[in-house]
Amino acid sequence: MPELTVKRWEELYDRAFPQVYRALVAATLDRERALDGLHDAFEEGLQHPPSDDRNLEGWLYRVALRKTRRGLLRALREGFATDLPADDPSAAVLQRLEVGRLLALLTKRQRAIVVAHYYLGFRNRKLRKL
Amino acid sequence: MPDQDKDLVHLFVRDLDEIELPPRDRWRLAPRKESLVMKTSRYVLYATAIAAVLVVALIASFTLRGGNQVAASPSPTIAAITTSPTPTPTAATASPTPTAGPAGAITGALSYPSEFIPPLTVYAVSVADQNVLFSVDTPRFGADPSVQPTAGPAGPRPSYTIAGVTPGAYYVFAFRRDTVVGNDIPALYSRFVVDCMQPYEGAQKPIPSSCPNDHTLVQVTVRPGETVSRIDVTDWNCSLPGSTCPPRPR
Repeated sequence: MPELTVKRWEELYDRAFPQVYRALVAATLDRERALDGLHDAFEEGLQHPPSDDRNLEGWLYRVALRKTRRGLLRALREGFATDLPADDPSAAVLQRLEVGRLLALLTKRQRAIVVAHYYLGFRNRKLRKL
Repeated sequence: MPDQDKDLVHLFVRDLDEIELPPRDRWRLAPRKESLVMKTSRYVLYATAIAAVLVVALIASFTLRGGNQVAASPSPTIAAITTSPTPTPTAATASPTPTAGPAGAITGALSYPSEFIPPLTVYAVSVADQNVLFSVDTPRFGADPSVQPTAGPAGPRPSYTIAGVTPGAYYVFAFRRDTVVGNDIPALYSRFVVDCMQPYEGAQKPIPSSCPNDHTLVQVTVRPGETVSRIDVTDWNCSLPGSTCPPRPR
């Protein structure tokens, strides 16, 4: 996207937000981290935009997930990270959902891959980047 | 895609689409919240920067007003001498003290009795007050020391320019900047340059032996906004018997 303007990037981001946000919540089981990760990805897109906008959801998901993992690592070091924050309503929602209960059985990385494959439509080549 | 895969896709889409989205105003990055410490640090930083600028401005103001030592360090230039009319350096007995007004400049040629010219510092020292001086560093000109010399310095004649000189009367001379034995003998803009060297520039014949061997410094008068040219610092003979070399400015 050589001619990507801030306005264009905001439009693309808003369009992709719902799907990527939900995927991130399912992968991280944490709404706040998902949102923080997306915000960071949005900023990164402003500074170093993706080479093309054909799969912006995939790019945002990958970048946000990476940012989220850094956030998790930081939180783990600080000693207050949990896999399923008790006060996070998304945890309750996911527990109620059939898919949520399945995802809870997986590791973080497995969740990230499964969500990317079944919800975002990643195929093998892109899954390897996760 | 196999049917089971499709079923799972439908399942994921159906279930994950139930995840509630945050309010629209939270989709974008909210302005970072600034803690009290960060805010205080920011203000302290601003105040420090402003204070530093004020201090520098005050120092500069006092320095310029007091006429204390000002070292100008313009970039040395490798340029041919200009052929513009040259203000004649005066030999007035009353030495004008550097005064305020638009700064002038002094420019001239450099030379050295070899195939190269070592790196020099050219000084313009006030006649009235030796603490008032301006200087410029010039680079080495000419042959590489590791290469056998074949000819003199190629290209335009090496020169210097001291810019930002406060109007007044000055002596102009240069010292080597490199640490070699004999670097305490300066090159001068002297009577010998004016009377014996400059008149024979470009002439095929050598300087006549009858030319007076006078290596005393010549005063250069800088007037407001003027560039005094042809102040050639080319006389390296002040160490000859009967002559005196100026000391290296500290």
